[in-house]
Amino acid sequence: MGAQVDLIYPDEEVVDLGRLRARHDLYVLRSNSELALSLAGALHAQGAVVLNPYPVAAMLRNKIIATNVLMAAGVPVPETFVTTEPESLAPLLDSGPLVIKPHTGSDGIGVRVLWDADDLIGLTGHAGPLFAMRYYPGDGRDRKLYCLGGQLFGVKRIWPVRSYDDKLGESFTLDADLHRIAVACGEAFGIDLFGVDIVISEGKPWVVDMSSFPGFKGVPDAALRLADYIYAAASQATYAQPLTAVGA
Amino acid sequence: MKAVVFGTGRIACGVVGELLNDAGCSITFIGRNRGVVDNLNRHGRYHLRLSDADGGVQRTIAGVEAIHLADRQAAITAITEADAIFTAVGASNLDAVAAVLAAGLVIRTSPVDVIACENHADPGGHLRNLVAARALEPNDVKRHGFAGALVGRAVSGRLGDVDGHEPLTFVGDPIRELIVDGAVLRNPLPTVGGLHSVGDFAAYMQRKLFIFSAGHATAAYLGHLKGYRYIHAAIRDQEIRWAVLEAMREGQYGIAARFGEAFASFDGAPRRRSALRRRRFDRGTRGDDALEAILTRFGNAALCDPVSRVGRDARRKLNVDDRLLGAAQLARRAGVNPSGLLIAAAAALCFECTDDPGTAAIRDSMHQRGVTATLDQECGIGARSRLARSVHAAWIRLTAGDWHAGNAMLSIDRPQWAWQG
Repeated sequence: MGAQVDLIYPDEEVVDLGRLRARHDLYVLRSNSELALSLAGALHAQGAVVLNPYPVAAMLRNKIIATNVLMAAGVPVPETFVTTEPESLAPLLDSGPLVIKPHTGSDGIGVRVLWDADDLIGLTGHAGPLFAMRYYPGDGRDRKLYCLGGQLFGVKRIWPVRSYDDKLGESFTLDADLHRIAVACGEAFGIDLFGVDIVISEGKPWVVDMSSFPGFKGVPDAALRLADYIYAAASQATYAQPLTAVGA
Repeated sequence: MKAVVFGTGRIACGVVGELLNDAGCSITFIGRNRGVVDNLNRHGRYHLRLSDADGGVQRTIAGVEAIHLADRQAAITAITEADAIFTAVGASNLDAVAAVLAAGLVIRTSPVDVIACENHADPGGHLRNLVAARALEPNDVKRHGFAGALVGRAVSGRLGDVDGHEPLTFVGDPIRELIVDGAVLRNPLPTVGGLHSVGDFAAYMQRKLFIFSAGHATAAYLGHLKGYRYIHAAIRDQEIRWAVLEAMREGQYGIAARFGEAFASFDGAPRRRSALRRRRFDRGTRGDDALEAILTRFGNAALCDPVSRVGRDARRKLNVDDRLLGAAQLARRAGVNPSGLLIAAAAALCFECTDDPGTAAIRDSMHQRGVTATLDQECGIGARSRLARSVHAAWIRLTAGDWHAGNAMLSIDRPQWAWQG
């Protein structure tokens, strides 16, 4: 057994689509890039096994879809609005600030808080959908919930991060509320590999983002755990053996 | 030379079959798995994939045939014609082969050796008793040799579709060693590298159990607690690696005190009443070469060995004479605090594995009765004994009293769980 691993950097090479074939037992979709996601979709269409499955990764790449799915699953998500007209958000600011995010963004890029209607001026000329979520100020540190093969982990992290140590944060034990939320997020998409961003505001947890394949920074022995999980996923894809579930 | 092998699984095909094939024997497997029996007969061969960190080789074991255990007459005929008989069916399954074995052995005209390659404290004696109980005249059985054997190779599994068009493949490491209890053999063993007979088999058995098997079980039980699926991943976790090394060192101390330091270091024959030189092992230091070699074997990703397989049957592995607590008692008698073995035993009490009655019994008892009563009723360790109290203390230290199935332990040193129950 063992595994042969080929690394693919779609954003750093030319891919001949005519030669793109699902030749591997498992494709791990780690990159957030649009091209990587598209290639994963092409491989998925050929029957390739992709981790996470392409349809789920595509849904989670789009905050409009992901947020709606989470809301439908009863996950506590701040009220959220989408529009292409920035000025239409003005009345909503009467009820409190909003946070604007690129609907296909990640890593906090392009995120800004709108405190009042004057802040909308900078958005004039914005093209594409505006994703606006009710802003709840956190208690100083964001909570990152990670699910790695069904195992749940919590990391507290300051925002914005200034150093590598800040990125690693501090692992903590999830309480019953956060545990329930993490489980609900996974069940909403049918996956057991994901990350969830939580803001605790006035004692109440809000899910403000979910990603398909986060970096798992701060999870003890994250790389080893991830390799263990991917190996199991590859075995399942190759030999049709069930994954050895934790606690099973 | 003709050989019969009871079993068509990992050890039967992955170890015994190879050695007998290399010794020039024609091999007849007798098994209960209809699909495997048919596959072996359809192809007349199977593959063996042997891999370690240096790479791997694949070889083919050809010229084999198989008989289903239910085909009683064919099995008896094979037994009467065999020059050597092996079993590799799992100790708990020996009962199922004892009857047909007895029927074949009593009508043989010449004595034959039956070599039990089973995980059991006394595999040869156990099998002899099972067979004798099924023979009309027990003396007809006692003229044959019933020897235990120790398997050196780790064989993690079988690949391939039993109903498919390809021969099956068994996957293992390259270690080639089968140590047989020579004291009870009636005939010479087939001559082939890797197949040895020894005079003090019990010493070899205990060395493997209290060092290698103790370390393997420690990796499985702590690996499970920390959420790993495979042994090769668990052993790369530095906390687990250290704990495994510590458990094996404690086992090694006990073996050294009983059989000599050279034997405990896999570097000589057993020698009683050795002068044990106390050594101090500090955290982070390397073990001796033998223990490092064992850790390397545990880290062999090519085996793809699941934690769930290695930890299976926790009740047996927690028995007072078995790898963890048997080793702990021997270490204590050698003047060593077996803290690593006790932590491993505590972790075994938290083990979960589906379709495993031996583990389910421990789990159910833990939920209903707690640590010391479970050790008492399931493992033969008195609830008020020092050993039971030590395991209880280790369990509290390990779990911080907050263990829940499916939860992952973030750190062994500073017990912290991923989520609250």
